[in-house]
Order: sequence, then structure tokens, then C-alpha cells
Amino acid sequence: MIQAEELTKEYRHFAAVKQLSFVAEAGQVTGFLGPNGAGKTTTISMILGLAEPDGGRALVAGKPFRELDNPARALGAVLDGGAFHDGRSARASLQATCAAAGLPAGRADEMLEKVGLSDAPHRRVGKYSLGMRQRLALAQALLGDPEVLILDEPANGLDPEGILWLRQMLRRLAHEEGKTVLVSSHVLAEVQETVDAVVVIAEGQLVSEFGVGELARGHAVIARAAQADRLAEAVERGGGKVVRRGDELSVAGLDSERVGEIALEAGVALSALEAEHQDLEQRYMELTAGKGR
Amino acid sequence: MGRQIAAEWIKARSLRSTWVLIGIAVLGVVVQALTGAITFSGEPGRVQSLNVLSGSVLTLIVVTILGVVLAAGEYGSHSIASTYTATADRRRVILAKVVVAIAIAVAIGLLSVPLSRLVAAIWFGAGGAGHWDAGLGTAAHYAYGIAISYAGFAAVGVAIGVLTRSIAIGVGIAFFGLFVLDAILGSVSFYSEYSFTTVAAVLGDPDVHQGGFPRFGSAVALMVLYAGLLTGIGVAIERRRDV
Repeated sequence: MIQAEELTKEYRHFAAVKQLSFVAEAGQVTGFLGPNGAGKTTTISMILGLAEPDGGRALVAGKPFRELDNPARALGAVLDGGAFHDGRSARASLQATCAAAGLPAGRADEMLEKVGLSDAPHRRVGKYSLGMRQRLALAQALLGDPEVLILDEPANGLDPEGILWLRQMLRRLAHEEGKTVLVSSHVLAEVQETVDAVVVIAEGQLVSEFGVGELARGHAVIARAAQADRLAEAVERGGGKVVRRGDELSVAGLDSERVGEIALEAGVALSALEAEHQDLEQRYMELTAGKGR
Repeated sequence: MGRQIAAEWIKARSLRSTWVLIGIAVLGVVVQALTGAITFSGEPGRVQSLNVLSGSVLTLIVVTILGVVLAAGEYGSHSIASTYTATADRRRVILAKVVVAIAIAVAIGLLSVPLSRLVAAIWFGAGGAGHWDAGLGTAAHYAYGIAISYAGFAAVGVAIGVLTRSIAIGVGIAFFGLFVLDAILGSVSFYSEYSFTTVAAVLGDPDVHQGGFPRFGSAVALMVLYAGLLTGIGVAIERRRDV
């Protein structure tokens, strides 16, 4: 589990992150979303101990990152673009991490195989495509078989096949192996098929935190009736909030079953009654409208 | 700590730049030995032999650059972020880099004496003027003096690399600070006995003691102090800095 508690990071002229709190639970993929400049990478840097918070704290498996006994076994990170030396081979890059984490050197070859890079282990990382670097970064993150994975813009440079592969891999790691997976992205399409929960930030602050399941439960109820005025009055008396569009009502605050009951009690014949689903993209756009830096 | 040293060694040996710098450093030893043999061919054998054995300034510069590259190279590629996510204790990372840089420098320093002797033997064998006049004790004295000298400068190079986080700036500062500014400050009377340049001269040529220079033991102590102090500053600052 990852916990951010009132995390704050200030630079000379602005606050990059302001009292940000959220939780990424084990066994699910949590999307960490926000427009460019929202503070996602700064937050991840603080979680990873790469940047010192000016306030608050971040905990990984209940401890600040710098207090973890063997970080590579507790947390794996895919950093933006893959943090590798261009002059070093992929295999040597992973072997160095294996050595630091006390893992057998053979683990490097296993992970290269797992991410589909076993045919180019001796090639210098500088000769890799961006997509190959991302795969290598994931291999490095998985070396210590950590319980927590943090991926900063992991789909950058991946082709559609690579994105599908990444999506399946992340879901398997979270759902079958019970790992905590936090994926940051500013491109919603990359993560919306993958995530179970979403943390949305903008201008360094938490905008919303919700489970994707909440979206599926419906955002509003659409009801159509010839006697729309009468239905609207009844629904409002019943506690719903109504937005009228001709003979169509959009009702918030009540589920479709209750709206149907109210219509029956009011003696209004309905020509349509359905839950209006809001997809993740709509919700994200609403939450972050006008908040990009 | 052992794991981190192993990791840093893998990183060092897997880069071509490390081997290029080691090659240039060894070349510096050969050039120094040949220059000593030729320049002092008219001097007594003892003087010629000591000048063949003495440490190479070129090698000293190169091992310093090697230290800078081992440390600062990670910042340029941002691979330092991977290093710090695998090992959260930055002190251990920096100390491991110092250990690896020192190990390479010591190996070059210890190789320096037999290599210099070999160059001299080839020179004399090819009809070069002069003769060899230095025993095993002298050779051993030179070997560990030069090794300590190279090790100290390599450690200082790592500290400069950590502090500057840039190979170009680090090499510039190392070169200017250690080989220009220090020599200028060395002309100030009270500092001359303690300057890097003087300490390196004493360690690199331990049997040629000059007036106003520290004794060999003092030079070793000063080198350890300087390298330790700069490394300590590097660690203290790096632990508080963001990556």
C-alpha cells in the first residue's frame, strides 16, 4: 500500500504539491492522473525518496521509503523515459541493480525474458527505442519482485501492442499477485482500461479520488415522459435534483428504481427510464477543466 | 555495503569510458617512465631510476577525471534515480563509488612501478643511455606512495562529481582547482606545505625530499584528510538534495 499524507513540495516561485493525501491499495491498479504540470512526477519523487517533502510524508508498506531495509525488494519504479545510462548494456544495467539488492545476477536475464528483451541483452541502452527502454524499466522495477510498483508515464513510446501488453501485465500483477500498482499518466486513454481506482490531481492538489466501479453505478437517471412537468415536480418532492431537456429529465440523487416508483405513484407514464453512465474520460475532463499549467 | 560496492563495480566496468580512461592513465605511466629515462640519461643511475619510477601527472589528472565520471555520469543520464531507488542510503552509494574509484586508482598505482621498470629495461636494452639503480625497497616505497596519491585524487574526483553532478563542470573544477588554483595558492608560504600539488609531489616521488615539503607520513595523512573531508562534504550535501 502507498499512503500520501499531506504531502507538500514548494519551489522558489510556486508550490508544486500542496497537502496532497491519497491511498493506493494493494491488489488494484490505481491511476494517478492529472494534466501536465499537475505535480504527478514531483509526488512520485517524494514517494521514492528522491525529493524531500516540505511537509507531510509518504509511506510505502507503512514506512518512509528511505527507511526500507531493501527498497528494491519492497518497491519497483518505472521512471519517466527509463533512468538508464546510454552507454551501458541492458543486462549490465539490471545486473548492477541485482547486486545492489542482493539478488542473483541470473535474475537480470529472467526479467529480460519476461519483458521480451532477451534477444538484445548486450545492446547498449542508448541504441534501444523508447518502447524498449520502457520495457527495460519495467524489467528493472520487477527485479526484486516488489509488493509495490510505481510507474511514471509507462506507456510513453509504446506501440499499441506494447500498451496492450503493459495493460495485461499490470492487471495481472495487481489482481493475481496482489501487488499495489500506481500508474501516473496525463493521457487518460492509456490507463482507463487498466485502472481500478483513480486519484486525480491538478495544480498540486487532490481533485478527486474514486473507484472506477463508482462510475459504472451510474451518475444520473434519464427519464422521459409526455407529462414531464408533473414528473419533475414529483421527483423533486422525492429528493431528486432535476435538469429538464424537453420531455427528458436528468435526475441526480436518486437511482432509476426510485424514479420509476415516483412516476408510478404520480401516475405518470414513462416512455424511457435508464441510468446515465459517465465514463472516466468525461469525469476526468470535468474535474480538471481549466486546471492545466 | 558489499552489495553496493559490487553494484558500483559492475557499473564502472560496463562503461567504455572507464576502460578508455584506465588506458590513458596507464599510457601516462609509460610516458612518464620514458621521459624520466631520456631526460635524466646524463644523471647518475640512482637519479635516473627515481625519475623513471615517479608518479605521472597525466595519470593523476586522469584518475581524478575517472572519479568525476564515475560519480557525475549517473546524474547526466538520470540513472542516479534508479540507483537511489535500489539503495535508499545515499551515503552508502557515494562511499561505494569512492571505494571503486580508489580500487582502480590503487591498481594503476601498483602497476605503475613494474611498468616503469619494464619501460626502463626496454630503453636500456635498446641502447638508451644510463643504467638502473634502485632496489626492491625503493620500488615498494614508490609503489605505495604513488598508489596512495592516485587513490586520494580519485576519491577527490568522486566528491567533486557528486557535488557538481556534471562531468563537464566537475572535470573543469577538478582541473582548475587541483592543478591550477592549488599550484598558485601553493606559492603562498604557509599553504605550500599543505597544498594538493605538494602532497602529490611527495607521494609520487617519495625518495626525493625537497625542503619546505611535508615528510612522506605527513603527506599520506594530508591526502587522507583532504579526500575524507571532501567526501564527507559530498555525502552531507547529497543526502539533503533532491534528484
